[in-house]
Amino acid sequence: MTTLQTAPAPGAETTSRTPRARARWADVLLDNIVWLLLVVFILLATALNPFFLSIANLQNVLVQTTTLGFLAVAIALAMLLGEIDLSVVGILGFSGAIGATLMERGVPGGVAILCVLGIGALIGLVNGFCIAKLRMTSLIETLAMGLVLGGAVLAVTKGRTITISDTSYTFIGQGTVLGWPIMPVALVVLFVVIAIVLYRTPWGRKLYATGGNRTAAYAAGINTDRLVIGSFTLGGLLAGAAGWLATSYLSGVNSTMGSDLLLYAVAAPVIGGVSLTGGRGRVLGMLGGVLLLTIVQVGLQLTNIDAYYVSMAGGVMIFLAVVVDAVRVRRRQTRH
Amino acid sequence: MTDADAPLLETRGLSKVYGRFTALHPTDITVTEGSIHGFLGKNGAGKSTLVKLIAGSERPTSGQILFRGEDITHLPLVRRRQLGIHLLSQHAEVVADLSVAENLLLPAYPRRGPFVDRRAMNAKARKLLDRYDVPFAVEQPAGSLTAPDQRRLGIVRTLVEESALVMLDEPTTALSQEERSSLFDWIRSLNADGQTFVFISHFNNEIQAICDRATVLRDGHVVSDGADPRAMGSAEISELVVGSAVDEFVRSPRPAKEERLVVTDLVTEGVGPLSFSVGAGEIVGFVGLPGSGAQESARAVAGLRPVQSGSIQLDGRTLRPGDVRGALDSGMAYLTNDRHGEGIVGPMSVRESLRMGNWPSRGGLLSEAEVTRTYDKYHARMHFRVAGPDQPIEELSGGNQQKIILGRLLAREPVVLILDEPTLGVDVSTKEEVHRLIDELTDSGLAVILLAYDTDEMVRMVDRVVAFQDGAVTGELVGAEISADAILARLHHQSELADA
Repeated sequence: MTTLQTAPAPGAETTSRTPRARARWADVLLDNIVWLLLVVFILLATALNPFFLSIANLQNVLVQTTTLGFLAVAIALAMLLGEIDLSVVGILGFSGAIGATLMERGVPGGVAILCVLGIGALIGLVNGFCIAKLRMTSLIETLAMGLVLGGAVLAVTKGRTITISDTSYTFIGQGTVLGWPIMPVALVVLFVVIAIVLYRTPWGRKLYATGGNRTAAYAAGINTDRLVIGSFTLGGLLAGAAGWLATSYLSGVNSTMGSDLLLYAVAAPVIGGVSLTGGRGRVLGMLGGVLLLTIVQVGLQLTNIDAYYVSMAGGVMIFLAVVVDAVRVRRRQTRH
Repeated sequence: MTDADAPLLETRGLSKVYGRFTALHPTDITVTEGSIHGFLGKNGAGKSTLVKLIAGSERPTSGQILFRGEDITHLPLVRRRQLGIHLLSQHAEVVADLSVAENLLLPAYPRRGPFVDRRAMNAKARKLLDRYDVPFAVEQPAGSLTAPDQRRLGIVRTLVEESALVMLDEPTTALSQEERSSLFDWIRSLNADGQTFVFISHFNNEIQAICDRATVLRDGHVVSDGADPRAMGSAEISELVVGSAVDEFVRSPRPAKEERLVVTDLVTEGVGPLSFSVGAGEIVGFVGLPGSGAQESARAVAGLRPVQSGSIQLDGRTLRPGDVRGALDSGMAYLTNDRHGEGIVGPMSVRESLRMGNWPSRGGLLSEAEVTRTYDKYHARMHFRVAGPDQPIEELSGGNQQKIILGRLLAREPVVLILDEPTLGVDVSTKEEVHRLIDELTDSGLAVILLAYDTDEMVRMVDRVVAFQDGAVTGELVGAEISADAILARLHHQSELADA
């Protein structure tokens, strides 16, 4: 506070600019709060258990982040449109189960991978069609789709755990180069590609325009329905890819795979600054959100804290994410 | 605290600034008890801002509001309501699905035990309506009332709450002449019983018809306060409203060249069949109330409203109805009157907004160089004031936002431009710039359709006026026939057309 009082205030111009500059600072802080929290948690986790900063644990964090990253980006695509996609974990389980079944039947790895991705995209296409053309509410439509797929996983696996050993399928989750797992490469590729798609292609800009104001986007000649369908299809494809990653990392599939991921995948983009009302959000923020939530989880697991508290901490993080989002929205509204 | 001699309401240095736009400069006005006090001014003059500050739905940037001598500046809207200050917005605030009685007594319904006592409620509502001379049935849903009756219901509601000051924001919007005079008679009779009103309008004749005092606002300044409008000449009031200092652009009418837009027997959702045409280089004003077909046909032509039958031809080619994209690609551009709802995407940068929906790409990637070129071109041409090309459009003033949207349409090099209230909420100097620009564009053959409630604007800009009523074209004004009075007459069906 003292710094504010001693700040020079000569002339009317500075008095009108200082609060504005301060407001900008607060905006920058709110937009990047995820990185601040990330540093805080890394320091905290290291203080509690120095093993946290080891190479082995770093590799672990990156591997854990990969699957969550694909799901979070899939949900973020829906959020940028002002919609939500709760079916991503269902798609992960179902496509993974299909992949495992195909491998069990002796289908070549490459074909199985394509089937896994294709099924994800197809389910996303159905979601997009229902939401854009049939005007279903995405919240309920994808919730229902997620439940249907969750049941379908049980039907396909009949409750068994199917194991996959063929490395032509599992290389992404099992392979290493110079002792480093190659799975995080998928994460890097994902974020580079999604940044190019969202920032540098007309399609990505249309996505932001449609999410920011669908009526205005439509009046400007953007085919908003096709965009919603395309976005959900891409989200489905990414969720299918998450299914491939998860099944190859686990060398198989079980009926409850990924069930604890959904809420984190929803929370990660929000804590990274993606607006729930659409049209606002940065790719780097999504990455930060995914890293933060993984680090909180892994960090807590390393501290011998009871598992209940780990899940509580996850809840607190999500709560925090929504608080930050609400503060941001309030600031925008009062400014105008 | 309360001073018996104090006026009912007083403002002292009351002002409102939105970002860089000053909606209301420091204002001192006085409203006397028992008067019908008019707030007169054009769109964007600051009338609505002033009443919102008084009602408490907006916070002032500076200044004080005194009610019966007491400072109410920091009281919230709810407390001001309890003091008896009510604002009725342009759109009647009734809950359409609730009955008249339910609307009227909301939220304090008479009860029998835990349940609403419908019989007592209806009886009470009937008594209230009778007291204020309002005849309609209390059991019917409020949504089934006519527009003026909904407005009456809204007014009675505030009177029930023992209102000291009822402020009506443009209550005559979308009313016919007869509806308007009957509403005026009713307001006068309530006033005779001592009710104080603030009446907001941008029509001089309305203020002269009903008010005994008037405050005239122009560009956020009070230019006259407390005079009796009936004692003033119409020309005198007009000069106060418009101001003589502004160099107002007047287009010199030009003869239309070949026909560009030809609309034949257009039927769109209960409106029509309508036929009209617009020539190259011509500016045609569309005049008509909501539902008359003026705005409806403009939106249908732009592809923003479903079309049931009829044809729309642009330079001889038939447009596919209901296809915004196709209309835009064929050279049809529509400037919306709903800037926030249908015009801008708030967080989008100014640079990108200029090419929204029309982003250039090269090899699948956005061509940043091309987008920047468009920005430079229109920045030089339209002089919008921005912090930089990457500033989000939501941070700009209304006038600058309007320039960006107009720039976006012009970047598509349209052949027909439909302007729906192009200067709504736009400051005076921008308004003149926009007018000049549109005038220039017609030289290169652009056909323009102009919709504007501001009859002055219409008179100054158009070559021809097409009047709409009840879904049909009912007349045309050309050359010397075009005047504010003639347009108002068409708008309110006062002419011989109404007798027919």
